Amino acid sequence: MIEHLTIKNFLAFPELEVPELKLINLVAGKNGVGKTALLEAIQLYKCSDKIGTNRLISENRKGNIIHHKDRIFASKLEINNLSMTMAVGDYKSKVFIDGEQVEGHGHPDDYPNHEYEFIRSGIKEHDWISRRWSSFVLTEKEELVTEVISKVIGLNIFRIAVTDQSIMVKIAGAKNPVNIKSLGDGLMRTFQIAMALVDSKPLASNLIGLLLIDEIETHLHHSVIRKLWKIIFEYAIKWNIQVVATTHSQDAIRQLFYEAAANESYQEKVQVLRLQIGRSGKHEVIEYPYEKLEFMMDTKLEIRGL
Amino acid sequence: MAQTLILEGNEGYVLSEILKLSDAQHPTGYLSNEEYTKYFLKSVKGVSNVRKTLAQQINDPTITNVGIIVDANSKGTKARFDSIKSTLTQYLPTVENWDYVASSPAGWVADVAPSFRVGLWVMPNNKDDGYFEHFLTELIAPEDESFLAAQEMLTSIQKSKNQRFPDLRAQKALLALFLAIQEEPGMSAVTALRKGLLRHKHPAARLFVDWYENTFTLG
Repeated sequence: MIEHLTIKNFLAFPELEVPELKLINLVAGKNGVGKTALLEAIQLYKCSDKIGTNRLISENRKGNIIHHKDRIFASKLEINNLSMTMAVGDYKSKVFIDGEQVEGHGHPDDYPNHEYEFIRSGIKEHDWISRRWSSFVLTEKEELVTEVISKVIGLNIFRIAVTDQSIMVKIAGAKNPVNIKSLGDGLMRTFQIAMALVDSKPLASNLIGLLLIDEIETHLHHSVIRKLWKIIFEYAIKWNIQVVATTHSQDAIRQLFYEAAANESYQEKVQVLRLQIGRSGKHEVIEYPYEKLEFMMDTKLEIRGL
Repeated sequence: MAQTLILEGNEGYVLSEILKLSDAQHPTGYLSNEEYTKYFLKSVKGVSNVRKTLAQQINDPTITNVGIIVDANSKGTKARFDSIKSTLTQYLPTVENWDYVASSPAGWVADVAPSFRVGLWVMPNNKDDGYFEHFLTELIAPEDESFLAAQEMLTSIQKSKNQRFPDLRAQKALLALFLAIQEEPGMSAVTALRKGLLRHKHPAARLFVDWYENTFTLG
């Protein structure tokens, strides 16, 4: 598990220290403060090989410029000047990117096949979903995904089929399948998150998976967000998956708190991190472990600045 | 610009009424009553929660002005001032202008860091021991006969075996007795202010309004 994180000279961050990461982490902050960049930094760390790095550069950040006060960052990742340190358990490893050594502590066996799963804020294009789902069909993972979706949206989904043009869903007891689009964007988003969650399940019980979700609230009604957290807690603990999600919604934070408040065993495993430009003008992370969240809720203090 | 007023107790409504009667403006960014009561006023229980809440405000760089109202009780104003100072120094890289001046009737207001103003008001008057009810009873006209009657009642209760409250809370009892015997028995302090039984134009209240206006950006 990634336990703490230091990022230097990466995208919007000259330097950012995250003193502690827990099993479930929700990064909150204003748009443009660097929440996605934080996920990308973790992703980059996981893409320890050159192929991964190239993939990252070509897939992401196309024409995407990050403004940070008087600094404008280019539309691709600046990896020449990259240095990152991370602690993963007691292990140590070294990562090289473009000849630059990335100091780190981590064991490659932590992530044997699935290095990570990264769900971005939008909805993936049909081809991606189609390819992904074809690797699930007729395996145990297919059942797990339908189970996860059914729990989140409260419909008993029996099967999902992805055709050339559309995604059809068969609800248990219903005569005919329906197009997933008719059930709303929330279901599409849930479908993607469910696939990523199932795919981040580590292959052995002594390993740990990693799931990154950008803007977890996208397309989801608050009642669904609560159920999504419930599922994320349940499976993250059961399967040993570290989750780092981002949000700029108070509601996503509240729903996370309510879920943890209802389950004492979750409380030590969760935290909210507010990413912000602090009073010193530098990026900083304010940690809200469960007790602090409880105090904020009790005193009706919002986690402001979202 | 985000601003908050942290209160140790539930005196927010009464103090807000004094501000309203004195034509003080709402803080910038909290112009509606809902924004004002829901987001500007932070009533927390006890001094340790005041400090925790202050820490939250310091950690949030969007907060520019924080007012703090606590009771001196028997600890004295300096102890309260120092306790706020220790929270400030714990969470801010540097703290400027936060030095204790004994008997500061206008409270303490300072820009302790860039874009961060802190105001502290220690009930009742930033000087004496006591609490919110001392501040309020100060606003009663000394010649008000119902107040004299309330004082006599309190004295007779204190002499009898029927005093159930600790001596330290006698002023709370006195104010409650005073409000109990008005035209509308058990009148609220807010109504007493509106009816002029508690005088918002009294210099003690005026000082409080000034403190509020110095601490926050208004309008």
